[in-house]
Amino acid sequence: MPAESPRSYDWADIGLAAAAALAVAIALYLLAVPGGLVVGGTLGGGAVALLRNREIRLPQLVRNAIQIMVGVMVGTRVTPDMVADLPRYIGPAAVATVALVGGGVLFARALHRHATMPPWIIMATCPGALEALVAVAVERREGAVEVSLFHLIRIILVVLSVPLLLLLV
Amino acid sequence: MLIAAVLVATVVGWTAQRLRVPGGMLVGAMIGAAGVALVSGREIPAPPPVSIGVFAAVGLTTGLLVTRDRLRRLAPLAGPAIASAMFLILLGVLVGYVLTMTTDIPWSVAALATSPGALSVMSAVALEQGDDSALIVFFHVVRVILVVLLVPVILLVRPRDAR
Repeated sequence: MPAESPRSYDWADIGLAAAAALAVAIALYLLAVPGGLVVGGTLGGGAVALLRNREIRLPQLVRNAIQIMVGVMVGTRVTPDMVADLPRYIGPAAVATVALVGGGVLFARALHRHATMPPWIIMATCPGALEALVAVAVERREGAVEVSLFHLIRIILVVLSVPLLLLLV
Repeated sequence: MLIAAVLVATVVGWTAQRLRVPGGMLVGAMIGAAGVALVSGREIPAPPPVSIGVFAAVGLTTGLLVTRDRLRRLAPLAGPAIASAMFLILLGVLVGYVLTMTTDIPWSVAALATSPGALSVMSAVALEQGDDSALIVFFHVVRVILVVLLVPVILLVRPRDAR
């Protein structure tokens, strides 16, 4: 059966997860939780995934559609003034990234020193680019699963930290 | 006009993904939709039910990553993984604060822009909050591209006995 055949997906589970995500998202939104729609979607979907005790995969087409709609919603807010302004933010964005990457490297070295972590730790503590880093780990045969699990935790904690982060704003 | 933006966004997003641009589908779609918005010269708001559905769907894609099997495999690594993530999140807050102090980027934007991750999540949160979502996405795109470019350097600075 081809991987992307509609029959290769459990549509009942997908429907259940989507309904739970929407319900929790709307509940948190109504409760005025900062970032409630995204955080609620994560909690609702995650709860169903844990309760069903199996991986619920969304079709690539659906994942692409979500990415496209986020892109559309951001893109349609772009104004000529914003476009003119963006180049001057390349420096701050690059400095911020280098600081995060540098911090990740230092943290990996500290973990290695105190807990004798294996070589893949340096890829696990990077701030992003999950797919590229897992590809490198696979190529080097160094803890691809562990690297992806570290990044999974990073993404989940980033989502869960959003309400707290927005309270600081 | 929204339909035209979605169509152009789909084409540009698909092309960017085929060209292996990091975050290509989202970034390409954003560029395509921005093109339509700039040419039309007006805002093209998505209807609120669409926005709510998209934000919840972004959360759903993250939530579905959590399975019992993954949590079981993660158990022995949980301490370092959580510590690492918390460190990066706090470092992001600190970097955001420094940017706010040293540039004209407001704290509400910097806090989300310097978060260590999740391009689609942070884009959706920025939209939900009504912040300068384009600038926040720009920071995250730079982050993803730079991390990819820095991978060879990162591998070079691994702990000596771990090579």
